[in-house]
Amino acid sequence: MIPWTKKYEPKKSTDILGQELALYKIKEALKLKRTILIYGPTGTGKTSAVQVIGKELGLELFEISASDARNKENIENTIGNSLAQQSLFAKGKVILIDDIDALSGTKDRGGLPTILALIEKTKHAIAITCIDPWDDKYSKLRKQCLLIEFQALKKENMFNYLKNIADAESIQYQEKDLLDIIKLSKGDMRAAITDIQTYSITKTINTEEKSERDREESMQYCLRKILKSKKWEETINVFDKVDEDLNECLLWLDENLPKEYNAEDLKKAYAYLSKADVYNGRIRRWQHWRFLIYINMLITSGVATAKKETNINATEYTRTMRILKLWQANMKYAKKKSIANKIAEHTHTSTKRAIRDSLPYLKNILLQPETIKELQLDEEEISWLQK
Amino acid sequence: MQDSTIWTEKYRPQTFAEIKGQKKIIERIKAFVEQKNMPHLLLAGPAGVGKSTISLVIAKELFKDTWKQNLLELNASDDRGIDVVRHTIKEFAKTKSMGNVPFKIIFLDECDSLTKEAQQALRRTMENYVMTTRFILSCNYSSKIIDPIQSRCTVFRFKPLTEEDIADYVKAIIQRENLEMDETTVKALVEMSSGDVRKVTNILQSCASIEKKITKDLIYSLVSAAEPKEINEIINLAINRQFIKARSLLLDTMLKHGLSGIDILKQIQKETMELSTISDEKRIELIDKCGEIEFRMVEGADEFIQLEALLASYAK
Repeated sequence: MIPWTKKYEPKKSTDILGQELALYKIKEALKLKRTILIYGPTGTGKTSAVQVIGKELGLELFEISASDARNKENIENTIGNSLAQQSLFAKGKVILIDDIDALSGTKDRGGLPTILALIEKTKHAIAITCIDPWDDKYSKLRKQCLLIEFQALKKENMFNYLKNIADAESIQYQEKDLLDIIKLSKGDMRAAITDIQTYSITKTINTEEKSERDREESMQYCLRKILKSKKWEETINVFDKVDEDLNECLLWLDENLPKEYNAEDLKKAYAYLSKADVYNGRIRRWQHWRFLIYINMLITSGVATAKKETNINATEYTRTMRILKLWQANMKYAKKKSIANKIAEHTHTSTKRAIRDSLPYLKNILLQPETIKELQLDEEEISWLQK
Repeated sequence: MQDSTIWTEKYRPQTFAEIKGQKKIIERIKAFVEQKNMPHLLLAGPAGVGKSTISLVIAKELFKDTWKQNLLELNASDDRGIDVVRHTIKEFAKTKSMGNVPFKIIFLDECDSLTKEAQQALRRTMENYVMTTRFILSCNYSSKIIDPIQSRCTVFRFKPLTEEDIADYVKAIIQRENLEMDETTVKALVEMSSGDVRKVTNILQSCASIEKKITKDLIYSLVSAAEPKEINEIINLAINRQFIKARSLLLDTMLKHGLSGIDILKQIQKETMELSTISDEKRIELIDKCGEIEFRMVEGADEFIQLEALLASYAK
């Protein structure tokens, strides 16, 4: 069975969605035989872009991908030779070094310096892809390359693409399922296409979605243990079984703790929980990962043993709404922020301070015609102020 | 140039002579400007004491007419993401300065909000462009700036302005704007500002837009209208064991007014001082707790979880 990621891979540059600017840059750079470093999340079309644009420009493609060993010798053998040769029919060449993140320290030894030397030497265009170019070890590379960013794909772009695939394969689907697949993919088209292929076979909701649900169930279990039990040994290891990162566990616990504890118990439990958060910061600050041990104990048995009373009623634990509310507030107060931003630029301060120290006092002053002109407030901002 | 309609700009000092307070710092900085030679500077001190103003004056006095072309102003808390900072800085530093000063100036405000990693990157940028560019960094707490940056800068510590300094400044505005305000009202306004000139000026302009004769009552009513009133309610909910309601109101308040954890904490601490429903013993316990929570937030802990922990200890 042919993987759909292959079957539906982009055939021409217009098949790559939502990266118009990046595509334009790549095209121009390849024409000029520049070296480019294309970066961005997985499955957004970085590699495909080089392949199809190369084809469209009639360039011969040499590819070194993560599957090849990429030590010094190997790179020189494959690429070095081909560079010396005139291309067949004197076409131009483009060298694609895929996924440079995947250069391993030991096996690909000398890989990066060889690539750097190659860039210096070559007369051909080179395209390098990677996920995160900001690591220190790439500082030299960054200097020698034109950086081009790929962005995580937008939902509507993905939706149309997946819909086309679904129609072409005549899959019966619920729109909601497609949206779930997209949500889970986090902007990774390859992941989404893989998922929809699975979906087409099982004809059910895809497996990832299910595992998300599993995760939620096991989180319910953990919280029940911690918030209902008082026993050290029953609670100490509960988070070992969940596949969630620590911050997620903290947020879940934070959201649901007050539903089960009150007064003194709540105070004590929050003392532990907030202390765990402090350790969390200290890990980041000092890079001392052993603090994890204390965090884990504080948020499991610490919180569990903090209570004198156990709430005997069954409680449904919910995901925190804090993040969502933050997001909603950002949307709702976007105008306020853009006004504050204008004040900030004008009065040499930060947006945050303008919101706090200027905006509350200056509302009616901002509506004076001279000030509107001075700050160049637009219609929407003015109507926000008039409210 | 036409005067700004916003008074913090209209009355911002344009020369060293006009700056209130900070005399010793100005002496030394003036010497740099006269010699047209300057190290990187790190200006540390509370909000509204003149850090940005001094930076702007340095640029104006150094570059005269071309100061705008030779100064790049960035705010680290807005232009977050060191990549943005790095890119903009690079573009700016690449070209040579105009006029007869051999360097340009980059003023990076509120550096406290840069992560350690971002500061490392900044440090390298500072080194790379040292021939063409001087940095003026400003921050509230110099302890939040990594040592390698501090050691590359001349550090100036700004003290809060004295009440007299601020009163002088207020009186100058009163005169220019033909306002009426008696001595005790000026004093009340100054006290309310906790040494922050920006805030004083904003309150003053806000009052003046309503009446030329400014009274204490007017000031109080405007300030209390601008300050969130929900804090008292949050505390009372917490005391009465309505924790879930308290925290939900807390979150809404923070989001609605765009307040940071520290902003909220300051208010909670103020209110706690005046609470009549708790014993003094409990009061000091809670104030102590406020201090601890503030320390944690300064260290970078999750503001919301920390505030929740604080609220939980208010329950009676």
